[in-house]
Amino acid sequence: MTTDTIYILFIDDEGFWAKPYRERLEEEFDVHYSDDPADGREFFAKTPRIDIIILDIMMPTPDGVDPRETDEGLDTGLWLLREMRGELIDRRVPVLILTNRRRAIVDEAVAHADFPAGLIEVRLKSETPAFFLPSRVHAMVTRWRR
Amino acid sequence: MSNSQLGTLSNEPESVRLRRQHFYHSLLKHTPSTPLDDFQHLCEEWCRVMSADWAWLWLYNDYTRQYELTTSFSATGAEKFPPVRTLPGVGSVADCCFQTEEPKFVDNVSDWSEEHSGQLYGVTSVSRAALNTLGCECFDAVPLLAPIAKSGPHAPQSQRSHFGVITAHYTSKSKRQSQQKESLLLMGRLTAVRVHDTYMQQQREILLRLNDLARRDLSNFHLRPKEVRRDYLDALIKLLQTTLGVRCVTVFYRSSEDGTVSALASTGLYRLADGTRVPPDEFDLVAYRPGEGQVGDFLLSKTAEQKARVAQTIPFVEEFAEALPNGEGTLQSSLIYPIMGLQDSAASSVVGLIRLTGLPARLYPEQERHFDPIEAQTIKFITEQVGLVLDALERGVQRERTISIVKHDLYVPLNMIRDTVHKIERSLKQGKAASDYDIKNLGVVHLLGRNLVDQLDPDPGEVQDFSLTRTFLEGDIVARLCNLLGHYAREMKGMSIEYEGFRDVPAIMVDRLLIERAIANLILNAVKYGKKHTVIKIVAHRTTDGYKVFVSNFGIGVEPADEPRLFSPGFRSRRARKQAGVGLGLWITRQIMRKHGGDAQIECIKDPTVFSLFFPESLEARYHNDN
Repeated sequence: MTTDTIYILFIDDEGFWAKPYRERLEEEFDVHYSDDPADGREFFAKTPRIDIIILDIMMPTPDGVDPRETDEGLDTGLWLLREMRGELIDRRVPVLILTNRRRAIVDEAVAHADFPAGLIEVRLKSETPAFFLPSRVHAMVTRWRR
Repeated sequence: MSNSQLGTLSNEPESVRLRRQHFYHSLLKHTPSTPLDDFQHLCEEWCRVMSADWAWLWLYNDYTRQYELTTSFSATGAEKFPPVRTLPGVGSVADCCFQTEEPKFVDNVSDWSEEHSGQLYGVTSVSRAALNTLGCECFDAVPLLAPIAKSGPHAPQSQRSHFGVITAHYTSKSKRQSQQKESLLLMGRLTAVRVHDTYMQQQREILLRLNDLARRDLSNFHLRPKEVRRDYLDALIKLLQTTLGVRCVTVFYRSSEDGTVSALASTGLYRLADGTRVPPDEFDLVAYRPGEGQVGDFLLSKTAEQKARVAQTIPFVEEFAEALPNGEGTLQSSLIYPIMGLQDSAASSVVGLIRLTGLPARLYPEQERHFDPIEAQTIKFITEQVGLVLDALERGVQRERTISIVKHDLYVPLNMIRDTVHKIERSLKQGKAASDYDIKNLGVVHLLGRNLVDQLDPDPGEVQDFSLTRTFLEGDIVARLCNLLGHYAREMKGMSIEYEGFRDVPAIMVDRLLIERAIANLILNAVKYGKKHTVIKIVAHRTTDGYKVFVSNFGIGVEPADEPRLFSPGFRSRRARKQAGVGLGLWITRQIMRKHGGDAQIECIKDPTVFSLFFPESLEARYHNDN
């Protein structure tokens, strides 16, 4: 592992369904996979090396969080995004949202959270084959890496 | 003057006829959009045509359920007839109403009419000792009858035909002149037209504004994320505040899921304990507290558990910390209005409350029960519109939730197929065979894809092509499910699935696909709500009258309070709500089992959580009988 290797934090609760993406990413990058949003958040906070986060939206609400915050698990990823907003901006870590949630909802929530343009990219899983992911990761990391 | 004294058209004095003609002319020249403040002009016209010393206009208030004084006019100078609230011995307008009536006069025109039997509409005059102290010897009262048909979208909400009364008062009986009954009724109807039109005009304006707001800001509300929806609700509250001219508006809404009443939106809420402001995203922790208003069955229907939850919520005060300048309003009083839902709403038609505090003087002056009836109608109309909007919004949000989940569940296997096929293609190009792992993935995808039928067909009991075949539960269903779903559970949460006891279960007559759905539902729930790295067990056991299949896991469990509703369609326990779901799995499972003459039950709620499926031994006999 060299310092040029891109380090991805991949947060998605459904390990079975996320595996094709994960396998494809692991062919080119270092990937830390987290199936728990709270664990993912904690890992991000203590790991300065992370270059990009790939984030699912529909995930179980973490323990200790009111399910209403996450629209009962429909928008846990959006909740996480709001929680990590300051740190993401400070550390210039882009987020590739990879979801099956309705795009209009995710787009509007991202716009409402007022992130710097381009820091958050939304991709639907249905329109994003696994083999397509590495090129997006490269493009986003290249843009935001200091 | 009794009815027999009313006189006829022929002996009516010419002066009376001329004054009445002037009255007709005066009223008919006005357009339907007569402004509200012309009501005094109405009283003036009545005073003139009746040759009275003063005339009062009483309108029915839907909320106080009585006729209330709205406007008055004095022909002899206001100084001789002080404002109602300063009448000697009169504490409120309501008191005045009661003082001026013989028992059922003003408070209920219908009853009053019945007292004068033989007349459909009572037109009479009664002397009142109570009014003598004011210099009033007698007065005439004429009902205002609803002028137009009560149907269509702009019809008034009240179904009463009487909605007001005009009273003409005299300081001496000798001043009264003979009046023709039909003429008075016609005058009453004309007056009613103007009052009604004013009311309708107000409603139309408010409806236009609400529609404008909905069109501009609330479009696709149900598609918006929660925090964006909050912005729109705040806009709606501001609109209500501006329209009604009140200091504080809080909308409480009843959750369709658990029936709790909590704040949805407000101009401002503060914690009683420390005075800190309640942020909007915590409004749903602020529950309506019983005893602060009259909402009838709405509160009585709360269960003990709901009341307990209400008791745990944040005590609040609304934002009226600053003192209001004299005459601007009152801080102590608040009015609470029910929000009526769509007529086809299940259970109660009351879906929420609007609480108004810090009301302007024009709405709610010193006397607690004197609330302008026209404004009351307007607010009632607004609350109904808000109820329709909120009901539609909630339905929209629920619908969107279901669609989101179903679409997610549909896309997930499709994505997996796409990526697995691509992977297999790559392997083949490299001269390698497809791996067992990938093949198994496709098997799981097929199984779960078929399970999606659950969400499209929530009632398998209605399926016509119910076909029983001789089935070995283990060989035909359970072994295959455990193989594929074991792979799935391992990849998802590092869980494993074990089964035992099926060797004692003989071949039984079941619909194989439906039973596979039922068992798969329980296993998938066990995975979804189970802890990582635990074991899901499926155990078959013989009972006295059949066979039971138990599915157990270690996970979030079931709260005792949720147990009775666990198998209801659409029910999701509080614990389960951490994850998205539509709440149909257990309902479908039970329907399938009951279709077979069996049942699905919960046997143990926690550690392990155990569900059972009962297959009656009589299935075989029933099959033979049916055939």
